[in-house]
Amino acid sequence: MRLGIEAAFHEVNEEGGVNGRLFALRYFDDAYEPEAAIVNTQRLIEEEKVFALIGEVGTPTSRSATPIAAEANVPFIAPFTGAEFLRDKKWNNILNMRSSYYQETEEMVDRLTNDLWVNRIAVMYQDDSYGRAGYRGVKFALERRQMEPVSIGLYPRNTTAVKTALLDLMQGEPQAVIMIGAYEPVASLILWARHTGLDVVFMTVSFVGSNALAGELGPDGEGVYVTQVVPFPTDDSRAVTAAYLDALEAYSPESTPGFVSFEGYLAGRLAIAGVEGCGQEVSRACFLDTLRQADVVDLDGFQLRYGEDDNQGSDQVFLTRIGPDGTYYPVTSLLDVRR
Amino acid sequence: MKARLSSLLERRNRISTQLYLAIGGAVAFTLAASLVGWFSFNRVGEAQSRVNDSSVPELVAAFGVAQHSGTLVVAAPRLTTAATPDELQAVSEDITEAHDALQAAMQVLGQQGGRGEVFNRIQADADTLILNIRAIESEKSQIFDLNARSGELRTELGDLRTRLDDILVPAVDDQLFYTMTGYRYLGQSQEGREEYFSEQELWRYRRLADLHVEASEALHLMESAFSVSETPHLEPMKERFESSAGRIERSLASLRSSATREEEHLQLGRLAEVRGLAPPLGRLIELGIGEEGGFELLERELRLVESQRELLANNRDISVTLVAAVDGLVSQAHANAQAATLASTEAALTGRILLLAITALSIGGALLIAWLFVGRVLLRRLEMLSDWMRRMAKGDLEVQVEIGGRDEVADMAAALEVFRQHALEVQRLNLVELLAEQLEEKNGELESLAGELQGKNGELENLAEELQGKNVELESLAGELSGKNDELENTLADLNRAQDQIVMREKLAALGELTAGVAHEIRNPLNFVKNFSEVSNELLVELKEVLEEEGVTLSDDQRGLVEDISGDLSSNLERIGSHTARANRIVHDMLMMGRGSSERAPVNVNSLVDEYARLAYHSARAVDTEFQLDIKQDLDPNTGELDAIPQDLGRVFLNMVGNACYATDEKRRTLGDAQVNGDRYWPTVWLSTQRTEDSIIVRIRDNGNGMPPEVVEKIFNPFFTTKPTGQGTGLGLALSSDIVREHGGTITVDTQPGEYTEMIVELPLEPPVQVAVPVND
Repeated sequence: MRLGIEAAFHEVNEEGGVNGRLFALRYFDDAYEPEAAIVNTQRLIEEEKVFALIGEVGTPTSRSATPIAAEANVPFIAPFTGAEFLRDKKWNNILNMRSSYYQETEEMVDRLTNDLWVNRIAVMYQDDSYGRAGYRGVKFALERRQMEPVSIGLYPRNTTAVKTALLDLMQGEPQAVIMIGAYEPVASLILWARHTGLDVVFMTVSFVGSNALAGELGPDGEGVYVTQVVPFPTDDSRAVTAAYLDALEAYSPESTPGFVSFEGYLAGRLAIAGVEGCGQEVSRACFLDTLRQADVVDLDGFQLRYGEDDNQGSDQVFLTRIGPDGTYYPVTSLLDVRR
Repeated sequence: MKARLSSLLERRNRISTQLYLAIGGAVAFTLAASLVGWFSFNRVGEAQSRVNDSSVPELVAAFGVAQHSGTLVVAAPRLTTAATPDELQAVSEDITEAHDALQAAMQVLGQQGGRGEVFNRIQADADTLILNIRAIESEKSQIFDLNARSGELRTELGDLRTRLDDILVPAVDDQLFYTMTGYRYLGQSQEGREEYFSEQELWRYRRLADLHVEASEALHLMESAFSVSETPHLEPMKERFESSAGRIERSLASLRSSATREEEHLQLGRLAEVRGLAPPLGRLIELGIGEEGGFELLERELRLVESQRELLANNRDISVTLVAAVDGLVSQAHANAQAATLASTEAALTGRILLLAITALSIGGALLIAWLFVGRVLLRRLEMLSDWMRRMAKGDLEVQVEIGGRDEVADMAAALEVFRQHALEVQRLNLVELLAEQLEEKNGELESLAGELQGKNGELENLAEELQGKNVELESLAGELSGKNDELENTLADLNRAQDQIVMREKLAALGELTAGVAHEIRNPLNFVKNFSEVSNELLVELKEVLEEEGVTLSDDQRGLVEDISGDLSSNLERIGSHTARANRIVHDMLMMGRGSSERAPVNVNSLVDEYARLAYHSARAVDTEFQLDIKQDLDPNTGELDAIPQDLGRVFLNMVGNACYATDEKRRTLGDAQVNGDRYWPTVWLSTQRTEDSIIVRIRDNGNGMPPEVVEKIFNPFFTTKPTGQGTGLGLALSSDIVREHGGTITVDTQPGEYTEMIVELPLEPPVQVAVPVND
């Protein structure tokens, strides 16, 4: 995420910034701990006096940071989470870029039921606000189709103790398992399920960290689906992807392109677009209003739309699959791959 | 020897000797005064140095004691509220400093005023207080120590929780999964059912799950113990922690013993697991109830806090007695200082009195010497001597010079006596010659005086002439003054005449208006008189003709005709009569107006208002035949009569209604045929009278142009008018005001520009006491 934002900032700074203004990123590591997120957010606002907060990673951490940002009226943009509470219209300082978990889970359920006619879907999720947000998304998507999860498994956050969850999942004899969790426990669950003969469709959300997941799974990763909120990062047929690849190459040639850094790049581009729209008189209110009031914020063809009651820019969900070689490739239907 | 003694005795009486003696006496007095002065200054100095040496340092020391004991009194609360050991250290240094300073001040006091009861009490209290403070300080530093240790303990507890979770959560997870499925490791195949789904595995699962629950419970208890603020609450927590610890130990022992019974390949792994679990769990128990464990630390800390509370209370009590004792000390020192100052003041006073007395004594002594010696012995005899000498010089040589004593003056007197004897002799010889010379001299002097007298006489005559001239001038000035006086009187008479003329002119103007109206009004009835008399004439001619044509015989018709004609005739005559009467009335009014009587008589106000309103209206019509006015009356039938001058009062109403006519006419001309509130404007005057308890109120209201406030202010000023030049005198309302005032009444104006004007005349029923009012008032 940081790499992507910095690539975008580096790109615009190389061209002299916006109206002579250069972009700088200040960051602290919260180790995915809500308490640390509070301290870091306060430091960024009070000591570093940042203009806006960008790309906060994680649901519980965002939950800690947003009240502080709202209190100080600092823009809080493009957090790396699809949690629903960030899409509440009560916030007037938050702008999301990516689709929500609800939309990702809806896409998964939609694909499973339409492409594969699957009707026994189970959910495994991390026992925290991130996991619960994803779980609610799946539950609503199923309820819309007069279904419910056949079984539910949960595991404690920051552990890989997923076997109890696996036992619970097995009870429902599922055809597909949607997983909302971190890459290690998700990988652990898939490996143990495959090992004990539970051969079903595994799907997980973008937040999992796609490359890390593929690395953890190795050859057992084939056939795992991951929904993404950004286009496939190496497909340079899209203008925005090409721009991202150029910026990444210019900023950090040794880095491998990925979904997360692509999302970071788009977040950085969103911030730049907001500052550009203000002209000479840049203020936080102007920054937010510019983005909110624009018909469309076009980042080289990746279009974001905000509105009165809509603080989420993109509604797009992209489906990817891990191939036999352990790398991702984009798919449009679950059937294309099965063939 | 004898001769020398007698010579000394001789010299005793000499003036020089006596002068020396007198000076010696004065010097003796001065010496005595200086001695007394020195003595007094010495006493004052001694008193002052007593103040400086003892009272001032005592006072300073007492204040020092007060100040430093104050610092000690507040020291304990400051200690207990210190937040860091550094702060505690700083406060402690302050206390040591204050204590040392207190001791120093006490030492000074001890040297100065001895060791009184108050002093000893302060010493004792201060010692107790400092002991108490040191106790608090040491406890406070212990608390800091304990705080630091419990902080470390809490950090360690946090780490312990993570470590235990890292082991126990996967262990429980793995054990359950194995017990349920028989899979232990990835890549390893499933074991036999009797192998994994055994009593032993289930027990193991239970132990691990228990350990997880108990460890969580123990951690939770420890964490919540830190928020406890009273010792009794700590005990049940400790109790529960102990039972948790017991269960943890039992589960751990059970796990260990079962692991040792395992088959070899299992045993190693599971023993390792148990061995991994034992240290953190053991540490957890140790942190809780071990030596220097959390509960003990907490208990000690709480106990210290309680003890501090007691010490603080104790400290307060000691402080109170200390402060009271110090107050006593300070007031004692203060009293001592005051006493010393008083002594010093007394010494100064005594010195002053002594000095004054000795000065008075010196002056008295000096005066005595001067009077006794200089005055009596020396000066008086010298005066006698000089007197004799003066008399001798004047020629009185008969007096014998004789003066007592044996001093220098007596010597001089003896010498003078010798001189006198000689002089007497010479005098006798020269006397005859001298007398002749003197006679001649006196004669010459007399002659010159006569000449002088004659000169003075001439001067006096000149002065008398001058005086007569001045007199004539004064008389001519007096004549001039009386001339000026006459001139002034003439001017005054002229002024009075001019004023009368102005009043007269106004009356004439009013009369002129009236006459014009009356003349017009008389014309009409006179026309009637004329016309009808003509008609009557014609009818009479007709009657004659009829009578002549038919002879004396009259048919019935003719008789009827004659009757008709005579009927008409009589009716015409009747009209003539009525109109003549009307003309008469108008003429009468006019005459009344002109006559200007000033007799008071009972007047019916209603009819007066009615009468003069009509007069005013007719006057207006006389000027402009198109003018029309609607007069509306609301006259109080109870108005009754008023004792007044009818002509004067009439002029008031005439003037007011006249003004109303003018105002409404102006408005009519301005508006033309324009509509007012949907109706055509119609000049209207409302007349109303009202009887109150002691007055009659007449209101004359018109719907004319009204007046702005700046005009209202001036309407009673003489010669003020809003009418065009030549149409008004500006005296109407001024005179009206005078007239109403003479009747003891008032005029009030109520007006709204463009809307209306209402003049309100209030006349008292009781005529006012007649007061001579100056004409030009």
